[in-house]
Amino acid sequence: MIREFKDIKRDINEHADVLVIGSGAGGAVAAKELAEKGIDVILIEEGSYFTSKNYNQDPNDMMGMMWRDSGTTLALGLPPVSITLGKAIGGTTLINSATCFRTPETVIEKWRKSYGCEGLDYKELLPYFEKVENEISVTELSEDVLGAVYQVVKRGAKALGLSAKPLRHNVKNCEGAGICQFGCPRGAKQSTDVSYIPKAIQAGARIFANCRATKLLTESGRIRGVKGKVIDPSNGKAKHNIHITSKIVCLAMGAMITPAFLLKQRLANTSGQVGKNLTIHPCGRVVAEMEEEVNGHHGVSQGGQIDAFAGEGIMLEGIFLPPGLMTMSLPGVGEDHKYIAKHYKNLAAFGVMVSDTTRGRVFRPLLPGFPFSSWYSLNKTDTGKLKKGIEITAEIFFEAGAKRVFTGCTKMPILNSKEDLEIFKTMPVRAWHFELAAFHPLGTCRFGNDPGESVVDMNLESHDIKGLFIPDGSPFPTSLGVNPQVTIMAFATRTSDYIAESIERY
Amino acid sequence: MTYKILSNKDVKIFEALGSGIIPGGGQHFEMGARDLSEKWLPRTDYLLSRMNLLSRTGMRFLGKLINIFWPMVYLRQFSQMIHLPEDELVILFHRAESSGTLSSALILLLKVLICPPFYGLKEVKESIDYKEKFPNPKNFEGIKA
Repeated sequence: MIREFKDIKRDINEHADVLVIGSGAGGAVAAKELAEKGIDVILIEEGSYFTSKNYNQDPNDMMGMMWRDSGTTLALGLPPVSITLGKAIGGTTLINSATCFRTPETVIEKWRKSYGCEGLDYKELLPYFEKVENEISVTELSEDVLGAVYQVVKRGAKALGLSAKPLRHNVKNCEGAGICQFGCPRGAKQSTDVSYIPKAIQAGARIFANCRATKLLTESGRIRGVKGKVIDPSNGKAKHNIHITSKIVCLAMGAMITPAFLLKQRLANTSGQVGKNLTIHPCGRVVAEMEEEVNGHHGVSQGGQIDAFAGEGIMLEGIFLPPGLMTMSLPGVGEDHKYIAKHYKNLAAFGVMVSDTTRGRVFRPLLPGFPFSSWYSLNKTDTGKLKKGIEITAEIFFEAGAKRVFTGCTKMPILNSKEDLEIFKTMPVRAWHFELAAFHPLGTCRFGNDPGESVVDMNLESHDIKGLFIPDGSPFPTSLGVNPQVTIMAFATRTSDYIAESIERY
Repeated sequence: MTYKILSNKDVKIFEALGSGIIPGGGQHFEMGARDLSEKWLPRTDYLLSRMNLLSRTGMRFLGKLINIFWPMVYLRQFSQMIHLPEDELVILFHRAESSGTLSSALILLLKVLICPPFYGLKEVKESIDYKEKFPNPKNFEGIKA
């Protein structure tokens, strides 16, 4: 059973062997894995608990319900980047596109050789990837469920000698409702609220929703527990106090909030690396108006990928949104805007994801009400990659028969022909000409063997505070170049194994 | 109509913003933001109510600044935006969007509070021939805080 605000009538005073904070890709996995090994686990989550009975396929309602701050979380910089975060049991896995990749072997190799992660071995991770993929039912979908946008892109890519491949998703019996980021109305998406959390409960973990951690309790360099508040989800006001003692705390609030939480309390930062090295996979989007009706919303939102440029740090992945968000992100007011809305069925869209070399930073919250502050300003190299990715995608769409293409670049937002594309290619652009979004913050408590250069060790335990683990996206020292949920889950599983083996020492 | 966050003045400002971006009439579909403001503005109010205090205060303040300054900057008129007719609002937003200044980014920000609330309405979805692939679950219990 998940205890929510309505079930909590008084202060919470509990004890557990392990306390997990956060229920996304890291926290939910740690809670389930540890509980199944017979360890007494409590998990607390700031957001509420939702089921498919609460999903109405209306992005307006769903953004307000389970996206942090209605989707207005930003990293400031030039340009400011929207970073979407989930706030619910299931965390951001509830609002992602259900796309699954294993960590590329080259990335693990890079970490081992250049980022002080000696001992990390790709082969050692393989059983964890397999286990995670079984738990969340990673599968390849049929062509009809992958959607018509994928077919359009496949056609255009083929004409250019490129190959578009289907993405793998964590779904069961997916029928392509096309609204993955706003709660799956068919209950097909295997986000952690439907995959890991029920198993954690079955194994005896106690789960508390609407509970916000406010302070880590430490004593002589060891973790001792957490203090927090029970939050009324209707108005955000604190109602009851939380005091949970534990031998181990798994801090899994995500790469934006975890470092801000530590910085606020001046903890675990002897290395000075907490909050630094933020990577986010900045994404641009290219939308095409096709001659034919595409009906991009009849199929998963993220159907296919083109990885031919992955070596250069450019990944092309599908993305499709409902009309309210699609029209919002395209230029035009008045009749131009209404034309786009009326021709929504003719739109096709694809995203450009950059494996970034830019490093941003998360700070302690500078303003009340915000869980973090952050700065991320896209560098010249990444701007070049983004522009190249947009050019390739636009070319693919023109080859597939697009009437015009929207670039997401304010310098030249609409390309009406291939000739326009040639002009766009020669045009000098700056980072702030792009409208960017990002979905994969990583790196803000990076791991490594050297305590002077990293925040956590290779088991994701803090170098400074014994018993404090960070099994979320924060420890990965560089961007992955692919969607990170399987990587986060695999490392959280590995860390859980380590905790279970060594819990007697705490 | 009572709103949780929006004041009467905010309602007029957001209605004008909506009208400038989605005016009534035209050849594509008849409905405009002003025709349905009583239906989509409560949805904007809901989105704002789920933001933190500073974000929603900032959004409302931005609306107030635009109301006063944009007619001066883009139309050379000393009139508040809320008093402008719909055709002038469209010109105003068109100029702001194509100005290549911060105003175009602000329009994108404002669209967050206008497009999802507007295009989620049943009558608007019908008018643009949009239909979800599947109906809502039969056991739909409503959204939750």
